[in-house]
Amino acid sequence: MEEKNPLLQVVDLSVDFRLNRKTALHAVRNVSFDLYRGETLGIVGESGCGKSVTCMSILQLNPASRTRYPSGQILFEGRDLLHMKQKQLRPIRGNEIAMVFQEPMTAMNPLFTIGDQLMEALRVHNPRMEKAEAYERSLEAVRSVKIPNPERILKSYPFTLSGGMRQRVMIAMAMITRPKLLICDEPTTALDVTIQAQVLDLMNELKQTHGTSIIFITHDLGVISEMADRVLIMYGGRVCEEADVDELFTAPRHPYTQGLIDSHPSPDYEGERLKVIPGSVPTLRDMPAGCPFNNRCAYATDACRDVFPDFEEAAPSHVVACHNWRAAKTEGGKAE
Amino acid sequence: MTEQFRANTNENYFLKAEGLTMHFPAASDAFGRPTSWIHGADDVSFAVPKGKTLGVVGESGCGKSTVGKMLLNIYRPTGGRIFYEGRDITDLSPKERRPYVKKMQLVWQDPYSSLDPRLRAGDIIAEPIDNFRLAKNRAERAEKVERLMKMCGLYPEMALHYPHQFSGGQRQRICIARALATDPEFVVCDEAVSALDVSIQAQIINLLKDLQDELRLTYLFISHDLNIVHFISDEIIVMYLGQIVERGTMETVYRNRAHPYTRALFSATPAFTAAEKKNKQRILLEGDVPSPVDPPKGCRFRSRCPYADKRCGEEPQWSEVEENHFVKCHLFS
Amino acid sequence: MRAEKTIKRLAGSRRSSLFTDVCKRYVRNPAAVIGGVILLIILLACLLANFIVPEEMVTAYDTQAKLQAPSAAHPFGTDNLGRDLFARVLYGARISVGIGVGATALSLVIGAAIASVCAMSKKADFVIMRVVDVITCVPTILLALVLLTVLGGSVFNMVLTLTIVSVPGFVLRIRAVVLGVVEQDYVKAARVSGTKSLKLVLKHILPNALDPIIVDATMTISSMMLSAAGLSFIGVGVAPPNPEWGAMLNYAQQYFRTAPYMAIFPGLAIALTALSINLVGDGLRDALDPQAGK
Repeated sequence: MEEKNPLLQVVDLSVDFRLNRKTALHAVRNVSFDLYRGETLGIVGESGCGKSVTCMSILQLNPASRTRYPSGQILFEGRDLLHMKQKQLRPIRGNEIAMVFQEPMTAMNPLFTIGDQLMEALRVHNPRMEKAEAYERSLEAVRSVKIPNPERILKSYPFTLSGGMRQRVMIAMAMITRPKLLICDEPTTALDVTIQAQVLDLMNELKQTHGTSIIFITHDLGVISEMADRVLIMYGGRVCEEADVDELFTAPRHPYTQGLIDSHPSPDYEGERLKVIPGSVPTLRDMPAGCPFNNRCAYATDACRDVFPDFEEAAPSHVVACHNWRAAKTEGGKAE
Repeated sequence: MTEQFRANTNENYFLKAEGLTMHFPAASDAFGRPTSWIHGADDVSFAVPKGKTLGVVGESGCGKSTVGKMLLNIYRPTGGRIFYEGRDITDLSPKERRPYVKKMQLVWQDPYSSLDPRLRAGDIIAEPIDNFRLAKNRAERAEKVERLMKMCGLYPEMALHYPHQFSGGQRQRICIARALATDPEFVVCDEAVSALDVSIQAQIINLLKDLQDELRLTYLFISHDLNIVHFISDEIIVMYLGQIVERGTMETVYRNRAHPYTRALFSATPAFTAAEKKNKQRILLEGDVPSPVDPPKGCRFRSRCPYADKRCGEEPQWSEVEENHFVKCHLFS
Repeated sequence: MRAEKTIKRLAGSRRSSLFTDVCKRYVRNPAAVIGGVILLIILLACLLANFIVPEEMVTAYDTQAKLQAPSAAHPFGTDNLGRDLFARVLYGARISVGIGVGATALSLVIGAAIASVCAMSKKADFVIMRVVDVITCVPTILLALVLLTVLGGSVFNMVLTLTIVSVPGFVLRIRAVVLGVVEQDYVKAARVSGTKSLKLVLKHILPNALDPIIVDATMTISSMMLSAAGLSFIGVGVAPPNPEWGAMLNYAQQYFRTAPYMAIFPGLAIALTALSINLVGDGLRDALDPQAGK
């Protein structure tokens, strides 16, 4: 029975950013998804697609004075996080739900040692924990992210570590409270590929041992295909396609997803020029009406300019929001 | 073999680097005399034929940007020589260098910081035209700017906008238009697409390719993204900690990856189609890149190399595994 | 069609359109507009003083009307020698504002020139910084006192003294910003595009570095005025019959109990001018940055 219930349910989430009294930017529109225990959900999209805003909403980390939530619910084990008071959220933040950011340096206090910060993270949620126990747990956490010489790392300051090491420490810090959900916002974007491979490998291993659910935000399709079980493609603040990872890469249905995959130069690609999506990513100010992708889409019709399409099931557990996905299906998807 | 590697059998080269070396002072004593050095680049040799693209790959700190900057005289190399169509241009006086400044241009990594926020797009593109007095009057200048903007896929009416009014991809197009304003022959693209969104990257790469065909440009394409380098390059050098570890034509290196680092680098690049994922074996490297201030003696890769043994304490020699495919590793000597 | 028009505009007057952009952004800021209006009135008063009150009034004394309270004949009252305070404050504006603006402009130009040299040459930078270190070791007030005593108190000498005293500070501040700008990619990009050093400094480095400096400098105008007033107050500043605001405060202190307006009006003039200049400085900072409006 437990297995059937999703750990996290995002229902019809919309987020507005108020610029001034008159104008509000629609950062996220009607986003819904479920996340089950032990599952990794990848959210892919380009800058300004709303992927980070969606995840920040889970812990209400968007700037409070400017953010409005016109609709939506975020149910974490049945509790609605979106309408909780900050005080009620505190025991959940960093404890049941943890985050890893792109630039680990900004998430650490440069004046304290790694050990201090790890122990602090533990004792914030368990004030009665003995110092010795906290130290043991920290040591174990650092060891679990495969940092050589963990005792020395606990005594060192963040700036003395390399980028890869810092990101490992961040993961250790996020995992130390054994969270049920880990949100990773572009965790490997700032790292070199060989280091990225190490970190991804580590995260997969941690997921396996602890059964943590992960939301993994990235713009890198390669990373997502190695990490995620399910993938959500976002564009212009909306979800345009959701599918299992292998299904998505072999049979993408949405023209945007197809374009995204095609514009990657894969090693066996023979052509002289890359296939591209014309135009540029619209900013939130000049988002077109209807389907936000309509001004860059080869299949766009009048319907696309008027209304955002409903989700249709293109295959089992593969939904797509496109009026013309059937037309796109026959032509697109070179990976097929 | 080292001599052969340096001398470069490539006869019809256009731009050639011979043993380029760059050491930056890392720390200095009270009198400003350096006491230790950062090994930015060591003994970098290559030759690019006219109209071709040489890809440079490697991780951060491997010296790939340093190489590009040495070619453009942003850094003055501490050793080695640069030849441009046979002429040694390493130590030219500013006056003698002037024509080469015109012929060699750079497209920057970050389209956000490389455009002066106070100038309009048109003036940014026109700046090299003014510098080299390439336009006789204002009308000709405006006409040149318009032509460059069209060539790079920008609308000429955007000439009056300020950089912050453009998207990242458009800014990179402005950078490219500026680089092309002097009719250069050689362009260094230093991570020219890595700051851009995925769908925009492909547009810029296509633009660079089209321009190459149209203007017979020669590129030095620096990137950490192997897939992109593989797509755009004719020849490739792989760098690690300031040194070239493998060099050859793109196809030979891709087909027959020799150096353990090259293999690890290729395997670490995430694959995203199911077919690719299946064929792939992961080589996970241990540890971090060592500090370039004090690189390991002998083979610099040995601290992370899965095949390292005691031979690797000595500097490996170059070996030619097949024609024009050089590897610096004891496994092949 | 549109393209042609914009191209024409590009070829034509770029400067004016850049200027209008800055103006548009400036006008959107109410505090800056108020400051600007006050400053404009003060500047107009400086220029048109001759049409408001004849210049003889500044020194003409009337022994019958000493220390009078403000009245219709003497709107600001009279001082201990029976001189009209309104005329003295009005003409004093020329001297005080002149000293502030003159000294600031001079130190800004000299400071920017020296800082640019620092940015372009490491060797020159080393030498200049050592010289600056030495100068900054001497207390500012002491240096100003010595210079003014040696040179003698006149408006020109006051400007000169204040400039000499404040140039090292300007060099330090401008240098810090300029060294940051030099490292920016667009400066390097311009160099790669073949831009020569002098043009690089004038077109890219200084315009981008001067933003924070301009704001700083406008604020400095008021502090220069205050320094000049202070020095005059001590008695080494502008020589007596000249109606410098600080010097006027100096005389006023003896009569503060009986004739407080002698101090109030020059003091108010100093405060109001300083405030308006600061408001304008703030507004300029926002207006000069094309991204601030976003």
